[in-house]
Amino acid sequence: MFKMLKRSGLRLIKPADLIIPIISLFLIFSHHSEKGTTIHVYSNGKEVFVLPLTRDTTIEVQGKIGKSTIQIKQGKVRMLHSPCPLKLCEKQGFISTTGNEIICVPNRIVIRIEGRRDIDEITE
Amino acid sequence: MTKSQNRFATTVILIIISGFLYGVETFIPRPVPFIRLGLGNVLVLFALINLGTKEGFQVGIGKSIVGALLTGSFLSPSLILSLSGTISSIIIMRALYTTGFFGIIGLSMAGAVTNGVVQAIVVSCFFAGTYSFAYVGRIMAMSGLITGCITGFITYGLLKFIERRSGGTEHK
Repeated sequence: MFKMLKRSGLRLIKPADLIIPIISLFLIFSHHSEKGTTIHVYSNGKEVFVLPLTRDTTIEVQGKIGKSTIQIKQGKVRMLHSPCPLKLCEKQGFISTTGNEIICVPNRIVIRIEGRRDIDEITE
Repeated sequence: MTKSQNRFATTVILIIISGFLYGVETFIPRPVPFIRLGLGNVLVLFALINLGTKEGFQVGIGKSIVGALLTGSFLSPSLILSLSGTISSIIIMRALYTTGFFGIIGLSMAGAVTNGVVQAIVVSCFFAGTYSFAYVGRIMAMSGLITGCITGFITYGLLKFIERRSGGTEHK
């Protein structure tokens, strides 16, 4: 009933096995560098702004402890000023790729970058 | 016992063991919620290789249902997730096994990665919200490579063990 390993031609590892990690790692990292198209700004869990990354602008968002200033410049976005004590969100600098986020915990502000092809890309 | 009864009994035993393993894994603390070792996949692959495609699907689907009953998540979103992941991973493993180019580790890794990526896709399609697909999918694929490697080794060990135990007196 049980096939013998030798006769069935199965081995623990074969050269072709290398293809699988290579393909998956390629998919994992190629997707990473994709440029986003829009930013979504959340304040206290609610979406307050959706903006295209293409237009340079500066907006102010009311958070839990004060007003945060978000700047979009040349397809990248950063937290320009924040009333939080540690300023970690400001120190993160510019982000531009899909799925990336700037999160300011004290002021409850999240900036997330999304691309239009976010889901379609892997399913194709 | 006839051959078909024997085959059926083996399938049922595999379903029960893999469902049990699935249930036990849920209770082991994990660093990240969606990463799991996927020991049930060992038995699914075993069934695919030794019994056939139909039995492979039976063990995979049975594993999800028995596991869901054990963990109390029957008919909940997590059952849909695990079913979709399992079925797609069986299709991929079966297809790669047919080509004959891949070893057990390769099959196992492909299954684990497919499982993770499909679950991430299903999550983002039906239960969209908290996590973005790109983020979850990447973690799932990465962990799938590692866990697939580990379960591949275990599957090979199991096949070797069974082969030695049934030593020569193979049923035709």
